[in-house]
Amino acid sequence: MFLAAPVPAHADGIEVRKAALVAAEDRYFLEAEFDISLTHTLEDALNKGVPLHFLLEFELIRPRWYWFNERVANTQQHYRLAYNALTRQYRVAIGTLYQNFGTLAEALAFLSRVRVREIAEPGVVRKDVSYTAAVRMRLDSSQLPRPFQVSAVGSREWSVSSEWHRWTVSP
Amino acid sequence: MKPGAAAETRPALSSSAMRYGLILCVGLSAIALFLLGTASATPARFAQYYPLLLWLNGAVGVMLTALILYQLVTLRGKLKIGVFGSKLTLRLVLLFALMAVLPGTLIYGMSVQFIARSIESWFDVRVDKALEGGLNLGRGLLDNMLRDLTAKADTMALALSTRPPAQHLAALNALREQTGVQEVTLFSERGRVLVFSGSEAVGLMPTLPGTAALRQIRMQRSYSAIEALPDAGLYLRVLVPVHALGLEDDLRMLQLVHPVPKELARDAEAVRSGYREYQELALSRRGLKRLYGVTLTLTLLLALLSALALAFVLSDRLSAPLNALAEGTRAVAQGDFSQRAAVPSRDELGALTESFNRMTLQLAEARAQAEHHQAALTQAKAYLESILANLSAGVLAFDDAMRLRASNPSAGSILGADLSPVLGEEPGRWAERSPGLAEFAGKIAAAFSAAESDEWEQQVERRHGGGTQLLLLRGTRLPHEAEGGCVVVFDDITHLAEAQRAAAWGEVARRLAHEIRNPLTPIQLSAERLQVKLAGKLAEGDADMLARSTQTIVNQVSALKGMVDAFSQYARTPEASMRELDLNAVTREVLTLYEASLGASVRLELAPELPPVVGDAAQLAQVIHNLLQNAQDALADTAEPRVVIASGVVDGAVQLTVTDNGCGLPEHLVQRVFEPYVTTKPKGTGLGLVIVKKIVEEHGGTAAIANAVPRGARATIRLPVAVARDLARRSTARA
Repeated sequence: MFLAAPVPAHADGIEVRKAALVAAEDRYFLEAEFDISLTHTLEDALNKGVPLHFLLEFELIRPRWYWFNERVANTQQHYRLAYNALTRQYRVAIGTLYQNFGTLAEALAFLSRVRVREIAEPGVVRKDVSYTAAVRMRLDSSQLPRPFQVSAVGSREWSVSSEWHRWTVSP
Repeated sequence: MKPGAAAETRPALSSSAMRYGLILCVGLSAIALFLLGTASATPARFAQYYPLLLWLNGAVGVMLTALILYQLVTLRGKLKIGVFGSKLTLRLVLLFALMAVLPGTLIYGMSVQFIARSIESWFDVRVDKALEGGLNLGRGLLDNMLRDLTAKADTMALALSTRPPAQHLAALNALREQTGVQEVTLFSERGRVLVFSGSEAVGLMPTLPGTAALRQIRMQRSYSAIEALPDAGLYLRVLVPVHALGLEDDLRMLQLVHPVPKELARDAEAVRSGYREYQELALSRRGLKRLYGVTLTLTLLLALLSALALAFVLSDRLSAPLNALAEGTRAVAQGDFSQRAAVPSRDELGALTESFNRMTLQLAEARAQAEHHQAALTQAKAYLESILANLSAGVLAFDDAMRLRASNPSAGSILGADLSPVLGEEPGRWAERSPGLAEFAGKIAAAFSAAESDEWEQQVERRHGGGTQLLLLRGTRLPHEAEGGCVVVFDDITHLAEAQRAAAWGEVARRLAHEIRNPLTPIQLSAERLQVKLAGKLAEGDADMLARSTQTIVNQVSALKGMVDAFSQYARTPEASMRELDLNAVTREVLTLYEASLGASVRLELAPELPPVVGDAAQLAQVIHNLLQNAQDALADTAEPRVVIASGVVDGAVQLTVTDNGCGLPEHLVQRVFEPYVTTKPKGTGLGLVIVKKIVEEHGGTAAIANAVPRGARATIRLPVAVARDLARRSTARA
């Protein structure tokens, strides 16, 4: 089952290339592809050793015309992208798991293709209901060192984020 | 500040609202600044709240600005309508603002400069280079170690490639021991572990290479990398292909894993983290400056705005007692001496309001006293004025320059002239304003200039209304200690003089009558006796002469007697018996005596319903008699004699007129006909009209005689109408 995959134009920042909910047995997992291109400032900071935190946010909403929409699922996934100046390696960490990459492009390519498991509790997603799914990825500026946060306030150089990408899911 | 209580409470309300607003704003700004300061110090959730805090501070700033604008507008309005104390408030506000802005700006400028300098001073090219160098050193060292390990791996691979697989384990162990590598593993092409040899520090299982390494080695290339394991520090990993001897053999991979020495790893890590932090700082230098700058600017802004708003409130408070005082002075100026609320402060302003209150109290007392005096003076003046006004004597007051200053009503009425036109004029110039007063004024001026002492007294005769008025003038020069000037007091003594003259004539008449009457009878009797005794004894001619002489004597004596009788009648009018009577009836009664002499020439015009008068019938008959006698005498030489007797009511009095067309009166005598011995008749005693006047005046009436037009004279008498009360009063007076 593969649903909705519009392809927006490429731009500086993060764009959702495609996203879909994949059903496996009674579970669902999210498969999404992004175009991630860091701004010059961010790349510079990364190469100077500043770790960048990315946040993948996913929501599954059941629209209700009679009441507020019901939020069926709400998942967040943290990614940490860091450069080790000593070993000259890029590292992407998800929680305690990590992977090293020799180049930034490899690291970003890894980061661009995400697959999140267990986005919803088993049985929560019903077969006969239509849902709205939303996904976005953004740079988590709150994890930046403090002075960068000041710079990040109201600056496009420091706030990299994709729009919410919404599509309808009817399992 | 007096237009109504509502207008007074409104500013007070708004000022208290303003004060609360100010307290709120200052409190908010303090909280916002504190939060901003602490947020700058703690990184947790910073980004989340930083914009919010900025907004909060901005909002407080806007609120304060609005407050200050409102205060400014209020102050401007006050200045426009000229509220007292608003100028002082403005000056105080400007002063406070200056005091707040100057040091604030100075400190702000210094702080910004200082922060910029100190942040810049963290960064140094040498430090930069040193860190870079340290990092490169670490990299070089690791690269060297990696190269070394790679060389060992190549040697091992060569050694292994020459041996059959059965000897691989022993050879690997030997080689590992020989080279001192921690872990050596031989993998098949698919990644299966063929042979593993490790030192004691390693476990039973080898660390597996990553996919990237496997991919590279399959392409017959060696792989070498420094890997950082989170819990085990730095590792060197080298993978080299082991070329098979025979073609049938698979490709094998040899992996060497060796840890970087702990000390080295730690130092390298330290250099790395130092470098990272330094770079971080260098990158964030603009952000830091901005952070401190924004915080400082906001602090300055809020502090300045708070100080400004506070300046308004403080200035208001400082100038409030002045406002109260101004209000008080204005009230005092308007005559309101009520006490002002004292300013509850122990400083000079409190003392000022207190002394002001004391002053108003004293003023109020002084004014009450002055008012009391004024009232007393006014009363005294009114008293004096009423005395002057009711004084029958005329009073004229002159100032130093002899200008008429004041006069009482009696003066005007005696002089028969309005004195107001000559007020403020010297007597010499009165003639221009009031010609009738010229003679009188001249007399006064002359009397004052001629008087030797300060007082003079003079009788003055003046022509007035066709008659002559006799005035008794008394002049007094006022002492100079007072305001100076002169006072003339005068009385109309015309009637008094007349009465005196009449009384004198009465006395003369009575004496004459007495003295003359006594010898008359003996003279008459003697003459008659001579006639009787000698008539027969004398010759015809002598007797005739005697008879004529005797007759002459008797006749003259009787004439003399008549004269004497008239005198005594004038002098001694008999007691009157007053009663109500009809004047018309009396007139008709008297007229019967003149039927023969006047007869047809008399015409009666008597009013049919004449009210009664009170009087003595005989005396009133005498009056009418005398008037008719005069008319008869005047008509002696008239060709067509005519006498008109008319009666009527004029001005509430009964009037009787006797008009003839006779010779009339000579002009010079018209004024004096009522004086004794003034007569136009050759045989008149001059007492007839005097008696008329006397009787009429005794009856409370008036008598007047004037020439008639075209010729003749008219005598008019007026008697008051009888009233029951009047009658009673008269009879009791008589009794």
